[in-house]
Amino acid sequence: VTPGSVSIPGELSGIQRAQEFLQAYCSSHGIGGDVLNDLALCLEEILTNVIKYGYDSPGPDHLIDVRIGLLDSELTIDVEDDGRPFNPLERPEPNLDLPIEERLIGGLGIYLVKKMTDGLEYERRENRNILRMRKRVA
Amino acid sequence: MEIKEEKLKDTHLIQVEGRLDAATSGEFEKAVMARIDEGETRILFDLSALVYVSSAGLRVFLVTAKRLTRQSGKMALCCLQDHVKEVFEISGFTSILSIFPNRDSAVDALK
Repeated sequence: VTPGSVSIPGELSGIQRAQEFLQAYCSSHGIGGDVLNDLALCLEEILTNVIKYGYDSPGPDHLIDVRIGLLDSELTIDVEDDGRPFNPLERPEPNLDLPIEERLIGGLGIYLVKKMTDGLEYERRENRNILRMRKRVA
Repeated sequence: MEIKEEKLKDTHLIQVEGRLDAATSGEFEKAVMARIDEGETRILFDLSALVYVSSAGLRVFLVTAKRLTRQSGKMALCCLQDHVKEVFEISGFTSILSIFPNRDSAVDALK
């Protein structure tokens, strides 16, 4: 099935464009509901991490490539950026058993992505981070 | 994201509608913190019209709960849509926050 891609500026305002692209791709392939909601959330969490922690100064000088593909009922989203090396799979998982006073918000975004996808792969290639998310859509 | 507010006796009701994401959560946090600064100690969030929440939005609820706990205040949430509830559950927030199916039961709990 036709893959699609979009490049967004490396700033928080770019996230919406990536999500709109995801939504358009999914609706043209009959994907909606909770699956689309999960995917939109995962995409936001990954992009937020890149934008907040990947750059010394976020902005339109950086571009993040988002590629979406669909094969055999599995949707893949690749996020490729030129930020500093960052492997989200190595982030420690948050301790969900702590009481309110001690709960930290850090790491929760990546944890949500791990729980909502069926596969996550990270690669550092030619000074770029490439994260692939896989999710079954049927 | 839109915010509607209402007084229900001693409880300050905040209905947040639309999306709480990386782009909108900052504005939401400012609005909520302003109410606590003004002295509100019982806050109920009605999420019946919230269709999307990411970790950026979760952060605001956690920050609010922490602050109210320190000030011997109370916070509750009600009326979560399915996908929002799923995000709260995965994050472990359903076990540390007071979440109710409807407004009445939440208001009772805040008394």
